[in-house]
Amino acid sequence: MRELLTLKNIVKTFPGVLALDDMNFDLREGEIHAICGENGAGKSTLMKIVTGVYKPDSGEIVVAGEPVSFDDPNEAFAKGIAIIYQETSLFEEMTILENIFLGHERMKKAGPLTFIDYGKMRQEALEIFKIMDVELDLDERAKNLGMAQKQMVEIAKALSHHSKILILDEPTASLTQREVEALFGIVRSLKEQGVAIAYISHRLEEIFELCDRVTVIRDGKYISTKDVATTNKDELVADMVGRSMDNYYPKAEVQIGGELIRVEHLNQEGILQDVNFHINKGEIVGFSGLAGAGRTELALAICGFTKIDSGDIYMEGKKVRIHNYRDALNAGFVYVSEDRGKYGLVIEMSVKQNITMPQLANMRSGIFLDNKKELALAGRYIKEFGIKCPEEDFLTENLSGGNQQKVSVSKAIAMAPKLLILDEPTRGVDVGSKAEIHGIVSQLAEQGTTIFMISSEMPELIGMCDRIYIMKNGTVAGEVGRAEATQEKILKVALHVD
Amino acid sequence: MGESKSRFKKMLTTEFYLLIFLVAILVIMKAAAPDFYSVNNIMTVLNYFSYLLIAAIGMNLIIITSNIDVAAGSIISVVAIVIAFVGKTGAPLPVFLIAGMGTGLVLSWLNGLFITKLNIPAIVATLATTQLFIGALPLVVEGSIYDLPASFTWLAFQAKIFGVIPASVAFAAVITAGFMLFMRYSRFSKKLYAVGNNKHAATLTGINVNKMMVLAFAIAGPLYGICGTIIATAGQRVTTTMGNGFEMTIIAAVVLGGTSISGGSGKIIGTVLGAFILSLITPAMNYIGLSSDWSDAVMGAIILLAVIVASISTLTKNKKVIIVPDQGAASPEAQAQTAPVGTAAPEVK
Repeated sequence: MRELLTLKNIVKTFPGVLALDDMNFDLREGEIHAICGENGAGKSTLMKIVTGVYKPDSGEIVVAGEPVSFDDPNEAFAKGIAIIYQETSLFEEMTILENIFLGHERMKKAGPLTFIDYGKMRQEALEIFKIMDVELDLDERAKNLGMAQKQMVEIAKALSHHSKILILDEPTASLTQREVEALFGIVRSLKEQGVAIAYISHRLEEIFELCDRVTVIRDGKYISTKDVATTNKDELVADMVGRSMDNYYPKAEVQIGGELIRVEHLNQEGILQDVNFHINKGEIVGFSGLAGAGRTELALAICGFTKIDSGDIYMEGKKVRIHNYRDALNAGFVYVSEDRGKYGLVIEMSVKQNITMPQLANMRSGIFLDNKKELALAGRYIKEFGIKCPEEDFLTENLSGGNQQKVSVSKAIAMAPKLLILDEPTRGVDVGSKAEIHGIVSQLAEQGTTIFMISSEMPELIGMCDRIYIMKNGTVAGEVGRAEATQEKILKVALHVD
Repeated sequence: MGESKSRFKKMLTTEFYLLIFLVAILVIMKAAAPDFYSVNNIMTVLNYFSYLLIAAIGMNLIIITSNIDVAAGSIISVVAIVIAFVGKTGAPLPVFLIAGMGTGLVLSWLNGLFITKLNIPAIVATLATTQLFIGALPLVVEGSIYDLPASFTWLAFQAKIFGVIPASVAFAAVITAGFMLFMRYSRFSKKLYAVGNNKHAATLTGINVNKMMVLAFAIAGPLYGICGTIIATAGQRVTTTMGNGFEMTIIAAVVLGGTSISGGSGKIIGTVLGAFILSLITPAMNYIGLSSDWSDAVMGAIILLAVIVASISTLTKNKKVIIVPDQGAASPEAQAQTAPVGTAAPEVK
């Protein structure tokens, strides 16, 4: 197979940081080549060099046998290189059609003027959708699309460039199992058409399911390239973290107590229908389901962020009324959002400020804030949860995703909740931090915190939870215990097929 | 049935509501004060509408890129004085019009450069230059420039289409039509929207964000110049404060027209309707017999109403349930097989 892209000895530094050190990577026609490494290993920097966003300090980029140097992303597009970023980069107020062709609109001449040729763009877009086997209204605005649909538009955008090289950066981070399958179908058919695909993912399962080769990078350095067929998960993880890891799901046995929370007949028009569940003290209870099944919506409703139409919530047998999040906090619930950048943390503030923020009232001496008390609280969690930061006053935006998540959880735990609601606690977090966060969750359960955990990663739920509720169409459609939980069982209920 | 229903729903845009509101005002005025439709008054309204619209189109471009320009009014004041200087010599319209457009271009461009090169938020940068422009004028001119020749007021008094319609209407018509085509059919305009939607993503698409912002200001400048020229040539005396405060009406026209102040959306047709509605308020108050003191408050109320309607319609839209599409649904067996069951089994050791 022909090599379409070769990177040789790439070095890239940012002020004070050596981001890439003598990096090598190659991509062949018709292959899916995974790139994995922990957060901060340099994957994104590497991809930004391939797509012309950054210029390497030294090293060589060869595209289809020809050495190139890109000054901006348009030059990389012109060479047939397209990238789909982890956070989709669609323009929300613009239509699907405008998004697909943005920056390379098809033009037609009318005398001395050139006009955007909407007819031609429409026709081309429809042809691309046909290849991908998707149906979307080209005039729909991007803001009205779901995550999976946005990703489809991104792929259509890449195809509209007639890209020969496609880079996917964590494309499945916010997709459900079924959407992932649809995406994989498209990726495989592109591969058959000879497109070379670089696939960045934290989910090792996906690499084994989809990819041909895998390159591991660590701390900006090239570690290894292997055929997927001849390697295994443990080997990859060992390469990624530089040590071997043997326990991804360190779930400890915990004495389960009496009932902590019981929710009966919860309704929210058009969103939640007759939701019933209970969680016992010390349990870790998972909530599984497809995106849009109502898991996050359920968490938001019981925390008072959204208004419920009817239904009862009982804490330790007593009925509680929750109209807003303050009521929920008083009842002992704390919610940790799936989007830590947006709702979980104030990333421009320090680790200390984030952790102490919800309880500044307890951090006072007289009328002033007591920095010592703040430092003590923050320091305790930095130590306990192993948050990797040089000091308490370190800005959270400079932490890796995994460490940010630990700060987010610390903040919640510092409020001493009876029920900790974790929404996708390991989304976008690398393997090493993932295991650490699982360790923290298990440790919390041991210390008596009850945990309501939403996750789209079934292995995580199966590995961590005492019980799993499966949601579908806004209601609890099934329940499985730890002993009998398998992916097949959960999927069958989530898709509702008997 | 469903088809026509969705088509009807698509029609319920901001522009549609504005149009209904506009027609309502016109109908009410017909009933309440028939004199409102006197030729004289219509022409006065059209003239005001024209120069408000021309400036508002420029402001619309700036707001689309997620910026704001509160210096527009002060630039118009400067333009008025500059063209008065030029016009005093007896120079004809094309000469001082170009001088006015040039002045607008330079000043607005400067604003754009301040914002992008020094990375100052648009509202702060333009607030500062507003003070600068307004403050500089009285130092250069004492009070006003007066006794301007007939060549200066030619646009307002003699240049009439069919003998009645002010020539400013023609300016506005050509500019509006031009920008409507431009916003739909140019690659440039798509980039403007992209910048306003998501600067980061725009950069990753290869768009030079700062350049687009500067260009938005640079395009708005000459439009302010034309607006200033129409305002200044309405009489033989030009004062140093002719455009002061007008920026608020310009911004109001854009916002009323459905352009989001956070950028990334907005159509010229909306701005046309917004400007038209605002042009009617003061004369309408007069004809109904209310003091013109009321007109600012009424304009405020109208904008508030428009914003509330827009916010309610987005709230109800967001309430819809997300439904997972059924396409590509595999049989459960296939799903279970293709799902990474084997490779991803929990490994609790």
